[in-house]
Amino acid sequence: MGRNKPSDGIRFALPWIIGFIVLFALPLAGTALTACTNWDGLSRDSLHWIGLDGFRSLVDDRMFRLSLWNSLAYASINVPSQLIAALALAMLIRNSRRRGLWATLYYAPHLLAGVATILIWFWLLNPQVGPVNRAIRAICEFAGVVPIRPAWLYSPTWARPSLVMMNLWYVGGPMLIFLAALLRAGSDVHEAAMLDGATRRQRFVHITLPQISPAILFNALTLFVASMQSFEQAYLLSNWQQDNTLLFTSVYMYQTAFERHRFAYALAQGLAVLCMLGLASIAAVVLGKRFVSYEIEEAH
Amino acid sequence: MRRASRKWLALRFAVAIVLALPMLWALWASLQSVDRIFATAGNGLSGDAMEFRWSNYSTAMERLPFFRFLANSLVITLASTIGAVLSCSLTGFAFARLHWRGRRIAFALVLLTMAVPLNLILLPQFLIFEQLGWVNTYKPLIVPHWLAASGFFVFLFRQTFKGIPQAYEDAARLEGATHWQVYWHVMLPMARPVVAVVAALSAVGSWNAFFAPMIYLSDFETYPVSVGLRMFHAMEGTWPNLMMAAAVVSMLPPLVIVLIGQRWLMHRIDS
Repeated sequence: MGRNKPSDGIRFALPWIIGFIVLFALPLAGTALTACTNWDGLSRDSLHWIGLDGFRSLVDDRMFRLSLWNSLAYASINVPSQLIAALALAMLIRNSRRRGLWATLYYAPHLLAGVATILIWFWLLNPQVGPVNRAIRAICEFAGVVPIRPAWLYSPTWARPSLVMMNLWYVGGPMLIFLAALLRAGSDVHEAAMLDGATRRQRFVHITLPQISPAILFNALTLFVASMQSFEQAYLLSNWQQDNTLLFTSVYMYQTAFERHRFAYALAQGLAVLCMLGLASIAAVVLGKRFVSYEIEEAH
Repeated sequence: MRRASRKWLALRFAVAIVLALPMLWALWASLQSVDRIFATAGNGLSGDAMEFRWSNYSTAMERLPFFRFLANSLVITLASTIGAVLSCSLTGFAFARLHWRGRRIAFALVLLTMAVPLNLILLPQFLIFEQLGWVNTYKPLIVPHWLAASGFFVFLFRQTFKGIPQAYEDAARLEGATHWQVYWHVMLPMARPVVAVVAALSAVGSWNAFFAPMIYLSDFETYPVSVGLRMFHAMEGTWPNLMMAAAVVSMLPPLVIVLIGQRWLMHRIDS
């Protein structure tokens, strides 16, 4: 151990140290500075300092406020629907002898998620010829009711729910985390409660939920941040008939930077959203401490 | 009891079918004529639904230089994945096994970067890479992976290396092994499952990446398949059968990774 110099560790961590500086620290510092200029992202000829004007105009920017609202509205349905679906699937397979098989099958779409799957969904949800609406029509005709025909991605009402529905296909990610938490929690407490005559519902509310509360907080937080920065689906699937309902913060940021060439202003937007998400995350963790029990045994 | 368990089995099976349907439809649509996909009930939907037009695939591949896109994706994915495995494991080793000043603070920063929304940090990073003159090259897509950009992978390696008993390291040290030798000959081989997981997740992530390549690349000869697909969608949007053929082809590499990885994942969850 005598050859063990304190600087050795830094040498081994060097990739990460450089990475942290180049990929996180410098960009954020550069963003804070550049956001105070009028840089267009192309040339430095007319570059000048505008101070905090960029941040000030954020407040009056109707489109920015709309984009924030859209992202929040999307997150507020996406996060609960993902949490419920993920937990339901995890509970569906937790006691199966072949749960590895099921978990793998349910998780697979998560790994395929990309432009290809988004474009598949674009056609699945086609209002006229897409199989989703065909199925709805067939079911309605079978049941003898007047078929509803949502226009999905071509309507302001249905555009965001369409994305939420698509995301249910990728629910395998959060499901794996719930499954791991459920398996770790085990069934000892459940068996004791069953002897005491607790109903299935009581056991779910008073044992299962507290047991997996750290996983719920983790999933909720990551899903929230992911929803608030969601870009690809909205960018690829937006059209004129949605009345800007898919104009999310990251989409507006992209448009500002690369289509309107107001790069510095886009950076100001990004920084503002980053700060908001940071504060929201800290608040969630602090508040979560009250509801999340890390040791179920101690609580009993 | 028996009947209840059969009910659950049916439900599990039904969920798997529902999740498979989008892929099955894409596969079916990729082999049909446009007329058949657009056909309404009673208007040609019976009869030859199982007649496959394999020529859709060659047509789709000829509309755009798709093999070029696939090759580009392969280059980016391989280079990124090797970098991610090496740099994240090295860093994880430094955090788990070496003592250095600032280690605790640095690890807190690793956890912090895990929480940074990557789509929002993309423009700030563009600022730096633009200064370096890296726009229109693959460097902004590959180099971050060589710099242990993924806090999650660093975290995974650190946890794994921490769990390896000290005795293994001591035995190697007694024979005069250096840090590098301990890392390469003791730690990495023992962490093989985690190496596989990180490689698989990193490869799938690079293959599916869209936002960053779209921002950095403007010459379409250099497009990866994700950006190429979007171009296809914009140009040939009225040809769902060709679109689905291109989409299916672009999903084959991640599908292969899923098929290789499923054995391991199944085993992990069962035990």
